[in-house]
Amino acid sequence: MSDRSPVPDAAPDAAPDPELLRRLDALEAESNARREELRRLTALVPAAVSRRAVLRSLAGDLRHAPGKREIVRRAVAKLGRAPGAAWRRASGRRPAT
Amino acid sequence: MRPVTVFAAAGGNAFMTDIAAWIVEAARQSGREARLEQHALPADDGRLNLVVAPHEHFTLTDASDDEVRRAMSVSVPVCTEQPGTPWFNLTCELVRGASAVLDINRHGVDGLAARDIAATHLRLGGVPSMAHGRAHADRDVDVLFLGGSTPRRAAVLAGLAPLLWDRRTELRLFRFSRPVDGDVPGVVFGRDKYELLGRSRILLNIHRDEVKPGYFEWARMIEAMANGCAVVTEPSAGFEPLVDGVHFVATQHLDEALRDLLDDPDRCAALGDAARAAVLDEYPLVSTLAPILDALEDLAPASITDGRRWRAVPRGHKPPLLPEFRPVDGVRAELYRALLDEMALLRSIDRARCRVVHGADDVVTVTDTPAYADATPEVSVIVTLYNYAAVVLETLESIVASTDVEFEIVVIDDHSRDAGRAVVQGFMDAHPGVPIRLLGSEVNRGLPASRNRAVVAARADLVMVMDADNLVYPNCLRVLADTLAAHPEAAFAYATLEAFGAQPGVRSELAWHPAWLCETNYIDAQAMLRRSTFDRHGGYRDDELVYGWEDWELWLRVAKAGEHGVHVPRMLGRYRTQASSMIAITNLVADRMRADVRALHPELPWPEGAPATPSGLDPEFAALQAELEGVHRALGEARRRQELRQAPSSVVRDRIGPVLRRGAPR
Repeated sequence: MSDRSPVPDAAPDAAPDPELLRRLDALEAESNARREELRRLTALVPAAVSRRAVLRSLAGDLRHAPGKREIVRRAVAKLGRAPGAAWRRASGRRPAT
Repeated sequence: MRPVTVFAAAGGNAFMTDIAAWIVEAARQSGREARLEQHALPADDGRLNLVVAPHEHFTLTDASDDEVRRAMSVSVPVCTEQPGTPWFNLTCELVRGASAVLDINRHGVDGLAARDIAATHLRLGGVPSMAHGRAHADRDVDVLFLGGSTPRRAAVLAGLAPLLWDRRTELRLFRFSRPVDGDVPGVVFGRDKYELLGRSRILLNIHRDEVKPGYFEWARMIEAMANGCAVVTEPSAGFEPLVDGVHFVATQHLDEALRDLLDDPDRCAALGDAARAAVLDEYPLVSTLAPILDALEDLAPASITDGRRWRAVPRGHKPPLLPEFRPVDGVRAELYRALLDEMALLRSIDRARCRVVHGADDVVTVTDTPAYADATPEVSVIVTLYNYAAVVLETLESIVASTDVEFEIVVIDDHSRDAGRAVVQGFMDAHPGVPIRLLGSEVNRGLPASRNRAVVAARADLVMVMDADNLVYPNCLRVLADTLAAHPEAAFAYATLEAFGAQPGVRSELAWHPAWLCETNYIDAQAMLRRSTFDRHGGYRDDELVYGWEDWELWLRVAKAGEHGVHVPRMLGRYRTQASSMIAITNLVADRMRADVRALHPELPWPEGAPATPSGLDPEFAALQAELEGVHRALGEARRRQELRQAPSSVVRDRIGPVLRRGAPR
């Protein structure tokens, strides 16, 4: 037989409050669920991504996009704004809204 | 006859220098003047210049491209690398256009021919200075393995662990991220290597990669055979004129071949003797080298006629132009932070529940077997348990099966959510004669805190650290204790572990080497430490900075103090691998954590480059933490008020009073 002797520094003064314990249990269950979700996400997020794969994916998206003309128009417009945006960033000015 | 100079890079792998030394010796046997040169480049001085491992000699030099090109034009490269490796590709780039090319392996000759480079096979053989073999009956190593550590070799070795754990083995593996020289511990060269081979009954050879037909590792085979080792190898091709079954054993069933030879010493000795006679007497190196040197007698320097004159000399691996693309590093860091915050929240809930149920926020129950009180253990085995109900029994049974050692087991249950504690209690009831103490924490405190607590409870001077899912072979404790006795200056001892489960392989397989330790944590926590090591270094660090890497950080502290661990190159323990683990979480922010650990110990020989970015607490979880801290404070205040009402005045004055004056503890 084993000698089982609890060594807490003191025994509780009264019976534990069941409502408090229930709330703590609920908190723990919620935390466990969040942890499981986080672990699932962890498994999905890669450490590094291939640049080639990203570019290929972008090209694929563009090829299958219905509004190719609009995408190109916006891209050209963005490129046109790029020098100004870079200058504002370099000089510490807030971007125009 | 033209004299011979054999070149091998001074900063290259030392086993290339061994091959160069054999060629020098064989050239002298053929009647030529020969010498070894490690620092200069070949020159047009009328000598025959044989360059062993040109991918090292021509790329590790500081000479200009023009100087290297001139040196190559008067050289005969002796290629040593296996086709399919980056080193072979580099060799091909370098030797193209040489007047003559030699290769020590038939596969290499074929691989070069496939790239339109004509090469001659320089079949290696023995030279007299290799032979240091003892009589087989006097050999104290049953099975020797020498080679770089690759995943394939590790997996094959792991499969042999059930056979090898109780044999006298020397599994000498090394990392080849950098050239290996005589300063690398655990790896031997030249005379030291021949003496080790001469003490070994069997040399085990495992191919580095899954290539069929297997590459016959001539250099390793020849030096082993010259020392009378019985060579057991995976199936290979290109070993002629040696004969499978007569001079060595080639088989896919390594375990059966090893068992047969170990159980039949006479056959093992006969195989070794036949091999020694073959490589030293029948097929010595001089017999193949001499005609090749004669054929090279009239060799003229190569002329550089094509565009190579303007092309840069390849200098090893080209580093990638851009760093790794990691667009989701921020997401990974946030996931890591969130996981740690959830863990801290769970521990806060534990403490709150413990206070509600037990009246204190940290309660540990102690359970002993009847044998525990009177035991005087030589080794305390501490086992940290958290949610391992399914496997902890296997762990305890493996420890109890230990032989020739007085031990106690200290299990600390870190508030498992499963039935782990009950399983251990059942085991204790079934083994009343085994000294076991079970510490049952009512609050989860984490692995390092639990280990530190178990170390405090341990009574022996030697502490074996284990996790509840890992195992030891029966001789593990005895061998590690003997190792520490034989090395009184060592802080700890560790053995190679057989990894089993999801990812078979080996762990802790390399000798103690701070430079390797700074590259990666290759020493598992499963090790035997002196209690004094814990006393000096303060146990495992218990904070988020090193979460999951506490054992590594302890080894680094040992290294920083100028102390060391001793490696036992035998598979004496078993490490269970799983798809997900604490380490996987740590890997979310591995670069940042490595930078943090490096900042703790900047004096160590760290490799170049290490990023670092701190991160803060997620506000939502911080609010939850604060709420729970409020619960703790409220419970603490209520508890103290109750004590004040009931406690004698001296207790109030001496113990509780000062606490209240300082304010409520957090």
